[in-house]
Amino acid sequence: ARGIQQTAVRQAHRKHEPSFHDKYGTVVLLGGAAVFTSVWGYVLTQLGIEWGFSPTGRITPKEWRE
Amino acid sequence: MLASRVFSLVGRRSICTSLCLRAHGHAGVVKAEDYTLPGYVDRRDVPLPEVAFVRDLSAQQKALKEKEKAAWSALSVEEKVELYRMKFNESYAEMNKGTNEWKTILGGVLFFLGVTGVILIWQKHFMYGPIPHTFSEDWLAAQTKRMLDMRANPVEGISAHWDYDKNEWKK
Repeated sequence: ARGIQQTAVRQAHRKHEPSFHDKYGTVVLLGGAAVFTSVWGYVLTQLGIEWGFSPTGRITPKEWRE
Repeated sequence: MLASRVFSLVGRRSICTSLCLRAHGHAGVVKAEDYTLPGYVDRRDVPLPEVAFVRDLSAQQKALKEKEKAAWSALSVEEKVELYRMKFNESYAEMNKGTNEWKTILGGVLFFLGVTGVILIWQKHFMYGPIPHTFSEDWLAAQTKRMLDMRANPVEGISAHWDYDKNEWKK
């Protein structure tokens, strides 16, 4: 139970120290979003993984009979 | 049986706890531990906690408490606020205030999901072999035409989405 020293100072002495989230929350959020979009953007498009999408609307049929 | 054996070995005297030791200097009364006494709590559903927030008042605060016993109109605004802060830690507004914790949490979650993606990259690069040749563009094109020629899944499936008159996918 800490006694409050200055009775004259009203708002200032009650202002709590900014927490980790106040200081770095926005940076962590944006940084995490950036990492996520860049990594998964690469995985989904550039990496060469076969996702097995439907040919409907995508593949132009080609003659197969020899 | 075994417990009494331990007692006789160790001696009853040394089993005395710290509470007992303190009691010897206080005429046999055990000092109450802090956790046994009513405590202060900042909770929305406890508007008047059992004790005041500030337990040990300074001389200045004691004088203020004396002044509080007189007419309250004599108190200045600062003094009233000081009395409030002696009794309560956080106001309801401060209690209910949200935090920015969600930013850290969401950012952390997204980051580690990104780490999962890195694992996939590693797998594709170092582990998986080449995909079957039946996934090449040529093969897929020929395969699709063959399926359409066979009228595969004509009701709701692939052939239902192909316009056989215009020779194109239905819009």
